[in-house]
Amino acid sequence: MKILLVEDETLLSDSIRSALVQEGFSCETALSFQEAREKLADKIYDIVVLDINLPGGLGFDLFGDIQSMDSHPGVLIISVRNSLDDKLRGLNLGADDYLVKPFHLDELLARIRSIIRRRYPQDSEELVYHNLSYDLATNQVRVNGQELKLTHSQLRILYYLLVNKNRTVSKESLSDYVLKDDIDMVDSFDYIYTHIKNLRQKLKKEGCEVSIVTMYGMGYTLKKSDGN
Amino acid sequence: MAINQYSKRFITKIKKVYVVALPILLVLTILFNNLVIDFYYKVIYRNRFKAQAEEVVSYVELTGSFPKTEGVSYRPLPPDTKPYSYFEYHFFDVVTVDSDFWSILFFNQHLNNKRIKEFTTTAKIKNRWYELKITKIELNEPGGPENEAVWFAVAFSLILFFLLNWGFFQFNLNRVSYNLWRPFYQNLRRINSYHIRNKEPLQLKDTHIREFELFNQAILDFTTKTQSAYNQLREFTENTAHELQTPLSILLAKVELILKRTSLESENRKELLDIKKTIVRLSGIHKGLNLLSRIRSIQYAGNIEKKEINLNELVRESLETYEELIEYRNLTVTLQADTPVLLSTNEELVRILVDNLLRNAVQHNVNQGEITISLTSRGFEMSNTGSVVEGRTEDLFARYHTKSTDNGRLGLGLAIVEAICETLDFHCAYAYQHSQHVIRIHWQK
Repeated sequence: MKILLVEDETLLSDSIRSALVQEGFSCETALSFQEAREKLADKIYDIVVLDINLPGGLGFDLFGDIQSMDSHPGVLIISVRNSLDDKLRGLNLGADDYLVKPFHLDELLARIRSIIRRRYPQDSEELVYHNLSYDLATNQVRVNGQELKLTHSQLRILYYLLVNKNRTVSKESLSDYVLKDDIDMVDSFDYIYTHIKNLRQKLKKEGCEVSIVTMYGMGYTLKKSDGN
Repeated sequence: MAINQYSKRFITKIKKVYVVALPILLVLTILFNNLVIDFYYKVIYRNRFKAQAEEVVSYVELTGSFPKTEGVSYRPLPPDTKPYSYFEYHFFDVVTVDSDFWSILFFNQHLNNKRIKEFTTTAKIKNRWYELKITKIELNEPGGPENEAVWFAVAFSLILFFLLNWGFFQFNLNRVSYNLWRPFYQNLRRINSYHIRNKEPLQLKDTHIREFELFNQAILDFTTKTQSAYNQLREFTENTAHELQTPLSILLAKVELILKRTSLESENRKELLDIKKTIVRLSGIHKGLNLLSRIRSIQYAGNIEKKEINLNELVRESLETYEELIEYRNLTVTLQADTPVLLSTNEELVRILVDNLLRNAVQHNVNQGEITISLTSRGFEMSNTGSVVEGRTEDLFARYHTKSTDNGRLGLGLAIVEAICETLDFHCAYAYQHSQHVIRIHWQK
């Protein structure tokens, strides 16, 4: 997967780039409107991560170049602009998603993955891990083909853990992903803890081979149970 | 703005009226003066003389002899004459005065005139008829009737002059307060309806009165300066809100990148997590600020997009958003709405308003608490249980402006509610009733 990162802030651009590279994407950066235009004309990309406020022009104006490409890349807008108008404008122009700065890198990666999934559907629209499967189209969770009833928050927690399987997910990024703007309405760690407790019980009850393991001081990981 | 060169002082405007009015009043008084003098001679003076003459006649009739006084003459009449009496008044010059310019000017000629009054009547004495003629010659001298007439006339004219003047003053007062103060009141209305948030600068009407113009100019100067200061502040807030975002994003990304490294010691990781938490908190405050500045700029732009919205639906949607949090905290939510409440207003802002209030009600509630939302066509009310607010409760909104507790989001949340209410012309009030926090939003139907 080739990603073009259009972001004028060098420091931010570097960080996002290394995160993307760590995830195994090949990533090129453009630091200005002109540079982005040249790169878009030169090469073929699968995903364009696009900032709106650029030296030399608005990111919105790059959509012409993006749409004229044969590969029809997916577009994820990252912007400081938070108004509904800007979001609608971006989505109407053909962007797949809109992420407001500042964002968590995990959130960015999750969004990019979901764009890839939508753009390039693989054999199944499911995230499968042992006998646990997550249907992305319908947001249904099955254990051994048996549907599991989960609340919205539990679904989000499970999705986030599944996407980051075998990696430790910090409580912060998890609560940030699940609660988003509501993060300081409740004791977010307690909230996450309660939901994870319930989720564990549900998974165990249905005989799931996968369990949520607490990594002390670091967060949670989705792992195959040891069998007990 | 320079002062209009044609504008006159207020007093000059009033003086102008008097310059026209006073001569008219004087002419009226002089005419009246003549009337009074005429009245004096024809009625009062005549009657007095007549009374004197009649005294003489009655004396004659009583005693049957004629008094030997100067000015009384008689002559016998034929026996079959019918009784009569008449009054005559003659003017003729006794002293000749040169009729030069000065004597005319000072009424010398007139003042030295001699006049003769004659009262002629018949009287029957010892069965014989006589004609009695009583004459009085007067010179104009001090204490004479002329003098009395003048005093008489002057007194009456003065009274008239005062009455007229007073009447004119009253009339003029009304006229002045209507005409001269009218632009003042018009401008006053404009100043009252002016708000510093408006995009349009204050505009005042030309009054053509110097004092008002000076005052207007001072007010215009003042509002222009204040408005520009306000705008600078507004723009500064907007810019800061925007410019904060990029460094925050960089910070967050950098910290997260470091956290992704597996080689990190757990102590360092903990520190980094604290840093990250602070960044997230900062970005929360920042999001609130951003929203606030956006509402202010909508306010500033002045044209608020309005459309018919169903408030019941909006509240229900908002409740759905917080469903899990409400469940998590075991809150009981009661929604009181008899009829669908339709309101023509800005959807986005009302959505933020309802969301903020509900978020507030959830966040500052106690576990197993209650939230009651009641909707009417005139407004809505949201009450929730929660910890007791100490001190005066009326200035809850203001208090949170200065004292941002826990994370700054609440203060901002209420500031946002306030700003939206201001923008949409809603009225919002806070009360602590029956151990519940109540926030009421009202609007004009």
